[in-house]
Amino acid sequence: MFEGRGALRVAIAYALSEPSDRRVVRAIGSRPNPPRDEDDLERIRALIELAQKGDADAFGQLYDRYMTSIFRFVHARVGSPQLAEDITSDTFLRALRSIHSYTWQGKDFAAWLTTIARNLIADHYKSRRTQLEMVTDLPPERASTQPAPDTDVLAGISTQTLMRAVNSLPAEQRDCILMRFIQELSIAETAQALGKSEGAVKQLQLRAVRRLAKVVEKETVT
Amino acid sequence: MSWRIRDARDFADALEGRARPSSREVASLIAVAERLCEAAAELQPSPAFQTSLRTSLMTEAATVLTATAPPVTARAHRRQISFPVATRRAAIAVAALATTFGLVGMTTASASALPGDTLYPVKRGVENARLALKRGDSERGAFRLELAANRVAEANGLVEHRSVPATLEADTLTAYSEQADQGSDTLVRSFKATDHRADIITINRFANSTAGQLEKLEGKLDGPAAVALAAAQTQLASIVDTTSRLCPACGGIDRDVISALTGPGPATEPGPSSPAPSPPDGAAPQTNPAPGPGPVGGRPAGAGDADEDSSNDSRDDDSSGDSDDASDSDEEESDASDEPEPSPSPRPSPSPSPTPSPSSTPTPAAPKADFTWSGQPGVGNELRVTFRDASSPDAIRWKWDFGDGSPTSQVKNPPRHTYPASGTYAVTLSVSNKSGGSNAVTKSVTVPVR
Repeated sequence: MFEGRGALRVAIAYALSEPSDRRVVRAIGSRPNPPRDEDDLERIRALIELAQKGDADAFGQLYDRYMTSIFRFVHARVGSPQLAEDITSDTFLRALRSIHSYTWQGKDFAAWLTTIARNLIADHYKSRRTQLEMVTDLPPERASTQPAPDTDVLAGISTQTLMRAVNSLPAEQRDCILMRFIQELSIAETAQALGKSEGAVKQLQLRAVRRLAKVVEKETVT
Repeated sequence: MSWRIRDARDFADALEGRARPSSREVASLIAVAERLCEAAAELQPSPAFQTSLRTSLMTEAATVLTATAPPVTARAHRRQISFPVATRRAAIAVAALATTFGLVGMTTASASALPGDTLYPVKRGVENARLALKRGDSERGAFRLELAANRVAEANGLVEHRSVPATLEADTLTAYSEQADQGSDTLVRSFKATDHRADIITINRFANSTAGQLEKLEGKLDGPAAVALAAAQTQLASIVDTTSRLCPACGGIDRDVISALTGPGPATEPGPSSPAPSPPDGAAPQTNPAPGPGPVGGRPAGAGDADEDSSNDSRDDDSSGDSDDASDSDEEESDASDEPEPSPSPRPSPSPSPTPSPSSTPTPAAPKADFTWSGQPGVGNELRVTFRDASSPDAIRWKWDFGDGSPTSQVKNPPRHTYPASGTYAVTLSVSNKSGGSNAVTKSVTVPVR
């Protein structure tokens, strides 16, 4: 009946009532992974609430947790590390400025940040009036049971080639792959970010990976 | 479309390690996914960038965050939990430890803490914090009962493992009574509002398990602790009385365990509403006007079968209408074969007319009416008052007017009455005896402002 969670909660409750005590705030925030269990979700909630109340350090902790995930997503999308840095900066700046409008019920925090990033990416390309990311020829989609490429072939592909292949997919499939495998969001988080049901996301990820497999195979063959 | 859904599910399951790949294709797709994850690692931001962005953000945050902090909403002010200094220090220690050693060690230590241990305040602090995060009567009530159960477990722990001052035991048991009281009240309120049997069943199950634990303490305590134990048992019996009235068909009660609450010996009525310490109760037919077949209280619940199974349905609907509480149970009284039972089953009581103390006093023409009361503060200005009949033994009918417009009660010891607002209330008890003589007494109950 008495779980570890309880001790954490009293720490959080205390931190919320005494935000000037930095030690507790820091101790709460310092888990590295994207949140997975209830404990982590509680921590995130606490940090968000603190940040909304004006605690810059709490926001810093949120940044620490999500920065890599967002960066990877953006980097995979745009290809260029420099551009990825710019967009990532803008993403967090925007998040900082609109943290007050974030409500827990609306969107999961990771999904919220990812949405900001996606919008910024879209804005960037729209404003440049150039074609969106790299496009290659797509083989027609079939409901197939063909085996995907050998693992050897896969291993031999450079990350750059792989990402190019990912970016050649239709937008939703591409984003699904990026969220699920680059950002490592859960099905639920991905569903929120894409505005879909979890079942739809499961189907989407299958379609996307199948398609990617075909693209990769084609790339390596040629 | 179903093949698509099945495939999608298989793939998702295999991805998350819940199942093995269901086909070669799925296995290959998993390989692709793994390659993607590897690639993710190569998409790392440079540490230099990571740090410099953080610095910029912190600088920005200094102005952005404080300047536009919105007015604090009601939610943010949600609860002010007061933390004793010891808990504060412990909280910091816990939070810090959590990141290095994980919570496991700390948890085990404070989870088993007993009153008097260093970590005990942490345990209680944690309980309060958890309680503060519960929402709604159902959750809060059930959680309070969990806390009460903790108290009685601690009481048993104290007794078995060490010799402690009796006050520690007494306090723990008093805390048990309070939480049991509040928790069951809250759940009853929830049940009355929502009709969810689960609420009553939760109380019943709690009563069941803690009754046994209280019983284990019998004979091991003395002084104030023994008094607190007796009060706790009385309290529990009264709670069970209430639940059986409200929902006789709700299960979760083991008759034998509950009847043990009132102790062995002369007070043979299994009825919980005759607490052991009050001897004059013994004589008269008891607490509850006994409906012939069935459960205690106002409901002549037709199907008297013991349905302990909480999943049974709507048994209590086939009684003649009235689903109110005991105050309307006028018509049942005539039956002198009292079966005052906490459980829904119609088991006849072993001795229908428990008469431990001879009522052979020269019967006055009219009974003497008297009662005692004691109150416990509740939420806000609430006062929860327990009334105990203290009339002469020949009284066979009671009528309580609580002075606040609420329905009258016609049982010997009414269920705990909650006065929601401060003030002074005139409470009147009228009693009458077999020969028709009657009497009444009025007392003032004052609910203080807190």
